[in-house]
Amino acid sequence: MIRLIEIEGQPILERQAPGLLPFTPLMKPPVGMSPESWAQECIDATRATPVDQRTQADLLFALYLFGSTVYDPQVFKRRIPEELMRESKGYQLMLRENTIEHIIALLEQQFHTEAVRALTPMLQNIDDLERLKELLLAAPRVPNIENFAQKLID
Amino acid sequence: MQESKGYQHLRERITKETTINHISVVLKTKFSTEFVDALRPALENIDDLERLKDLYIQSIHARSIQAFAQKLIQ
Repeated sequence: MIRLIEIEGQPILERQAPGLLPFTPLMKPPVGMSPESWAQECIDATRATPVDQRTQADLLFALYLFGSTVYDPQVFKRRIPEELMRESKGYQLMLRENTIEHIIALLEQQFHTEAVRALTPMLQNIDDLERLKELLLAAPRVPNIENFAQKLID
Repeated sequence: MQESKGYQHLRERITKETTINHISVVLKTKFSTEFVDALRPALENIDDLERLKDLYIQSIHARSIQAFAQKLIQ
């Protein structure tokens, strides 16, 4: 078993191996460096790594996720702007779950819960966030649940 | 993973942003964009996710932007 805290973090940052960057906050900081400064170094190195924007978003999301297991999450909240993580798969997944939840809440305010529940599996099968956003916009405007069901299968 | 501090924190952060965006989307289907945008800073100041969720439901029922603003400052 490899304990990350026993690995020197600085040489890993210098290698700029993208796959290892999200784990660097869990590694041993250079002697004399404060934990917050180390977290900042890890964020800076991840932002500077030469990868495409989507990959960088994934790396920053993972860095935030793993880093927050040992640091106060506020350390990462203050240092990683939300827009830099927005394209990551993890962020998009959470966005998708929230959007489905909000469509269901909108429908349940207007129609019978049972009818809405019957449509829930179809909504949960939609991966396309843009399509979910269209359905979110349509939900408050439909005159009946059948009309919304029609939009779902269109 | 889903129980980790980092996951919960990210989830809360993203839920807050999404809920505020969806409140704006719903309000803009009914009221002027300028009025809805004017309420955004007040929404951004709310960290209580249950209160935001309640405001999301209120946004569906709001008959006027003033009525929604009233709920916001209550």
